[in-house]
Amino acid sequence: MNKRTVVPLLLLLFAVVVCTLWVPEFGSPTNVRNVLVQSVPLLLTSVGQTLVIITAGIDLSIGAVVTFSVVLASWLMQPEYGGIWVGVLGCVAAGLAIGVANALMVVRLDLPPFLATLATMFLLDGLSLTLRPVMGGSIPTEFRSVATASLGPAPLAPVVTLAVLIALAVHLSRSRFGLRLHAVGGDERKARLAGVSAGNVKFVVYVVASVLASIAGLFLAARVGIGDPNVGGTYQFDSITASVLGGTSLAGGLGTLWGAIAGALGLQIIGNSLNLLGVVAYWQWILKGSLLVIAVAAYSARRITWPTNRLRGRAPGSGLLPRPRLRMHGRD
Amino acid sequence: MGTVLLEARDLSKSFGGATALRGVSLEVQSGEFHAILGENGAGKSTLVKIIAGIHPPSHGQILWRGQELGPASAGHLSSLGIGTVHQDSSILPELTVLENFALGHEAVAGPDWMDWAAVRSSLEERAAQLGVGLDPSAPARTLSVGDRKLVELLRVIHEGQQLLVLDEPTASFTPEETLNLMRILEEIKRTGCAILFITHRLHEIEGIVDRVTVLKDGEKAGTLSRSEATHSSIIALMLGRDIGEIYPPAPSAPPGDALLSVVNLERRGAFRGVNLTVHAGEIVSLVGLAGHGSFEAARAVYGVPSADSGDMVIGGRRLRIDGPIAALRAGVGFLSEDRGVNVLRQLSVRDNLGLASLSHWSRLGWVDGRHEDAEVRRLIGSLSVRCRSARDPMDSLSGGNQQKVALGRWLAADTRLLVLLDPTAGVDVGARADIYGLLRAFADSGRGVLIASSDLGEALGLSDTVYAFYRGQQTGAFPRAGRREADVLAAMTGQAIGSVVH
Repeated sequence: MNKRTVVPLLLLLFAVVVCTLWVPEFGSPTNVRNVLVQSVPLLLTSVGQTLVIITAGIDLSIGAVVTFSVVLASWLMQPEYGGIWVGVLGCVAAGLAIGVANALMVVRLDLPPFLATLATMFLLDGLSLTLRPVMGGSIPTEFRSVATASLGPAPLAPVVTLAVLIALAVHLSRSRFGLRLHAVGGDERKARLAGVSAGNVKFVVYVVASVLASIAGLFLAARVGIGDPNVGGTYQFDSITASVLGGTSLAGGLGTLWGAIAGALGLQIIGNSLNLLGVVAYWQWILKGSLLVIAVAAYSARRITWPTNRLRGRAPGSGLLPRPRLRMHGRD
Repeated sequence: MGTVLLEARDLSKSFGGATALRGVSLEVQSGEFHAILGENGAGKSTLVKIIAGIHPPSHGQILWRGQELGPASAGHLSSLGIGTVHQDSSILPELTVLENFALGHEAVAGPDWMDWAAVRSSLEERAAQLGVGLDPSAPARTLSVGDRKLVELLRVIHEGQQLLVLDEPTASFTPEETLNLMRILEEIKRTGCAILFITHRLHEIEGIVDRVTVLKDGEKAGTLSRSEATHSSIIALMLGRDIGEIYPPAPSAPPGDALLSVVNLERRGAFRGVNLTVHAGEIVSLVGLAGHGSFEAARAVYGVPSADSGDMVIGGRRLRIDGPIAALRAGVGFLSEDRGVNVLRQLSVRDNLGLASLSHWSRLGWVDGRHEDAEVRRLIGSLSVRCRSARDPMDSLSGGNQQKVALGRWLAADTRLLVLLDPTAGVDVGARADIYGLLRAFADSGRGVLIASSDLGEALGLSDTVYAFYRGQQTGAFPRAGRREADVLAAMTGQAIGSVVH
């Protein structure tokens, strides 16, 4: 477990303790349930975003995929267009297709991820507003129960989401894919030389990020119950924020899903507490911005050194007398 | 020697309009140590990349045991028993030794779930066989250059290895690291594995090589057997001429006034009590083992990072050099030992040459294009940079030519003192001689050069004064007259000459 896993988890724990002690109502069963249910879409989008950012990319279309998924569900789930299952499969298929499109642009056309996904974002936002210029449609009650169902005392959706994402986090830390992911993000050229197919790795992360975002959209549809063409926008930058709070480096190669999960929960908890304390939204933004700066500065503190200092890059403990580095016989 | 393992037939390769390789044929027999020598830009790396399946050849074919080897992936080559260690490191510093070893290593991993125990034992087994000691869980960034190469080597070799291709593995090795690698390669050769070894240093392969193929300007100059491959026959093939003396003669005029005087300079943890002087017309070298202060002291003159205390007098004025901007104002130019940071690789030769001088070539903020063109043309000529056009991107130049351009940038500017760290590391013989000549001419025009060198031969051959460093302190000053290598060595090892070679 490295710094970028442990620190976000500790910060999450700290946030939970502080909020429980000092924020009235925070620890009440209703509020805990609320926070958990609210955090589902952020958890899903943050994990997807983190996977992409670890490859040194970024996905700016995640929020738009969430919105598109909600809008699409508000049409497809109506009985005359097919019903619940058609809606679920349609949204996931759309997420898959969008992910493949992003991946093709990044991997095959070699477009910068920022631009490729920005284009996708515009395209999807336009499509969503065309399909639903104003809020409309409705989500069937049976499907809406997804957001309210319980597993014993606990809300079902967050429990399932967390279980799946934690399994993914464990897998990533032990699997060949996880190793390759960090290699590609660390230095794509070196990873290629080492025999890693960087294209395949990047392909997978864009597809997974989009599919997770479309599932987040389905969950939101269940929660809000209506086709809202603006519902997903906040997840765009909140997913990046959660990812960075969770210790992911935008430069790639560094970051874990544990951090992403902790970052998303932490962000949700802080927002919830500020709401309970009656802090107005504008101040919440100011606080979010400050938090982000502090987090990034803290994680990157180690890296401020002269890059070519010859004393670095040596095994610790070699001390005052590193191994001699002089060429004794000239070079001809 | 046995059968022909790998045969390259009439390989040619062009990139854009530039031909990197022209009609090269080559045979590697089973079990032989075959070296490919050539100056930078001779086409060695291109040849390796074609063999490793990274570039398809423009013309010609590669045969493996008589069968044509089409476009092949690293995995396919590995299954045939061909492993390649490329010139550019593929070691990811943020991963551990074990994780780096496991990369691209599908054989030992499960379908997607890594069997780290198996990977670890496979690493330990191979390391033990070759007598390599590495901590599997150490982050790769803590490894020396030599150890990083060994991790790459361990990654590509496996049971039944037929051919190992190594592209300039020793480019930034210390002598011990080179010796160690050669010992390991002999071990590998003993198992019957053929080795194709690319280098531009002859001396390191002398004991082990079976055949040598020399490339020159993208063409094969010849293949020599062990008995024919003498120093002089190889150099003659590499250069197409005799090199003669690569160091310029000592200046006839005595040095002028002090350009740089350093008094009691200290940076905590790096060096202390350093006194040295560079006179106009002088080339001065600082030598010492890594971490003993010679490079750090030279860096302090340019302020990267700057010294904590002590005085620096440049051109008669006491100055505080707290960074490159202060150094530039004082007329100090600098080249890092990391060649990658000395030039802007995306920009053209012309832009790189002009970077430090554009203000002299401009009027009211507009660059005088004709003036710039003339200056750039003059510089390319006087530096003998080999490029097709001044608009070529730096990327398209060989390492030695990039270094000449980096140097040329300072020659174009109002530089009075050049601070250079290992200016010829990884630069071929021909370009080295050119660079030495440029530095001498620069000094002879009344300016000064301060070099931190890890090449003692170069320091002794080139410089008018050599300062030795040991444990962060300057332990001796050696003017050219009466200078003996043994004395310099003694000073830089705290008198203990025997401890240099481990």
